Amino acid sequence: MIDLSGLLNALLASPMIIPAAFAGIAWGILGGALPGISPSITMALLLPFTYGADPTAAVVLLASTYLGAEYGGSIPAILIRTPGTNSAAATVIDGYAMKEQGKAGEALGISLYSTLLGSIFGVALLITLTQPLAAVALAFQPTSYVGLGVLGLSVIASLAGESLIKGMMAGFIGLMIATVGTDPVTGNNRFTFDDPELLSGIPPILVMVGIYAVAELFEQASHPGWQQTNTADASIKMPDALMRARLRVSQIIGAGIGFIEGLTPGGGGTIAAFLSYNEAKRWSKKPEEFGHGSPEGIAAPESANGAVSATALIPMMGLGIPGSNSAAVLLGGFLIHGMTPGPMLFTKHYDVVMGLYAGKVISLFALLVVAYLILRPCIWLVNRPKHYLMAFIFALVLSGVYAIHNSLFHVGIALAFGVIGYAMKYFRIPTLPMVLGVVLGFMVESNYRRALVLSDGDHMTFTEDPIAATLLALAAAFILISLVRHFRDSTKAQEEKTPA
Amino acid sequence: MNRDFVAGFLGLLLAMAYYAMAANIQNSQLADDVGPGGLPKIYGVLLAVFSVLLMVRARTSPAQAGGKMRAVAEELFAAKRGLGILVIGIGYIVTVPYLGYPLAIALVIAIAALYNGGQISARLAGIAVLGAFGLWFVFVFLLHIGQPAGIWADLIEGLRR
Repeated sequence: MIDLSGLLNALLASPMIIPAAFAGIAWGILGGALPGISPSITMALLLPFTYGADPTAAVVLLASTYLGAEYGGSIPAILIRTPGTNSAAATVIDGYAMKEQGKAGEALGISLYSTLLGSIFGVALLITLTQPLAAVALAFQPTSYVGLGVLGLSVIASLAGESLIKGMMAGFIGLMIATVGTDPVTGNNRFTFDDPELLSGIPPILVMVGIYAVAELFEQASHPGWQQTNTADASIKMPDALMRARLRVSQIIGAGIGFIEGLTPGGGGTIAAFLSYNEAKRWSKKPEEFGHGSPEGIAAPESANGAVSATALIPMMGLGIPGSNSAAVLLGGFLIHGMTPGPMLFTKHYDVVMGLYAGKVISLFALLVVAYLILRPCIWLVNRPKHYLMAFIFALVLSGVYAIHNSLFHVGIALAFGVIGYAMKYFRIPTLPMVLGVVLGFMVESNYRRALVLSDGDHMTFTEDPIAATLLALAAAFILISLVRHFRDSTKAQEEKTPA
Repeated sequence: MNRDFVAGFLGLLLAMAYYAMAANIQNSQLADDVGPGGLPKIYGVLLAVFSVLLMVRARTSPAQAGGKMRAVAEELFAAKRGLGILVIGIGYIVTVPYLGYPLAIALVIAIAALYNGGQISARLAGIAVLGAFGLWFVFVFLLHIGQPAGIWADLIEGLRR
């Protein structure tokens, strides 16, 4: 049930939510519009700025950035045939074809309208589904948190992409990073090399900024500049009633698939966009138009992206398990302010949760307004020489990381994680399992050891707690299903390669 | 040699180094059954196991092994572009305590732009100065976040004396 008075109270208690939602949308659209700058990078660049901000406004800023970036990615996809974000790749197909037919404004309008509808659907589900998921909070014991952490880590198996082994390696490296600092039970120093700056561990924010933003800057340095657009006078044209009726089925498909993919760990916008594109084509009355400028070919992936930007927050807020890079960065935003997403978030920081919901609702209005206002600056920005943009972003990263704790040592750590992220890209090792390990490692270890202290070292304590037992069983099932799927895919690939 | 084999080998080295450090963590009298080194040792062993598995898979089924490594010189050339940005970043960390934030960040913008394909021009200098001023304005003036001041204040003070 939606607590409308709670939303209103949150808005009144923290009026900074409104400018944060507008600023997040604007920053997100600008960042998403720059090819190579994904929603997670756009959000990671903002993280240092949120450090001194009001916690509610900070998480609203990040969540709105996520939505803005999902829409922003479609602008270069339509105008210069280069998706600003991975999830906008499906929009390129028909978006650019419409632009070539002189319908850039219509394509941008369909993209905006569909992202908006998908987001409305996603936000409604976020508000109604997250709290029940976290309702078991009060019954949680240290054993339950271990179960939750192991479930989160088992997600690694499904996030591993092409290689389960590499995903597991990345996950364990993340867990190792989480052990740096003071031991949670005895207070012993571990892996600190006698450096006082490492006593409190490696803040996840530095890992995220390094892995997402710095590594991408390293990567971009070896890529040529992107194409420029001559559509300087493009303006958004919202679809008329006839067109809205035509788009309905594809938008329902997109929002539905976006909802499921947002909830699924490792799913995310890219898969949702392509799946919904294919399904929209299958159910379309004019499938032959797909690939040649079909409005439904834009509507389906964009409504999926809009839905994902909200529903991806459900497992992150309810269970503390980020299923995508962007959700992981938002989780980092919570951690910066001393809030741990998961069951207790709703009891300890109910005001912030309500504020985030209110901010998500406001960001829908903000998207509609800001998208119109910011289109021209966006086109201007995309047309700037890439070397200036990248240099400025690098300067922003260096300044922002220093600002977190006024520490040049932390700037060095972020750069080091940039190198690690760059190397992981080269070796095709997924980065999200590592981030998950960093985020969940401390929770798993501290609760595991506390539970054993309470039970005099008896491991059966984990099966005696019904919540822990259920979560551990789910984790085991998760790993088993992923293993079966992985080996089935490997065998199939092997069979296809073997000549008959 | 393929990428996965090298990745597995590097993972194994990391696991061994980490395990060695974990084994040397001193136990305190307050320690529980697991101890401060307990889980780290398990993580080290598991990373080693998965690293070896990756190396074995790279040897036994090269089709899944993520592509061949190129010659060392080619690899270094490919990585050089990205790692140049790292060098600029390290240069910033080393020099900003002396040069101060505005000057050091202006240099970062100028050098990174040059490195990414820009050319020395008045426009480049102007963008570096404007960019540095913009960042200083946001961080120091608006957000009141202190950035390294450099040696300038001490230098001017010294000259006055």
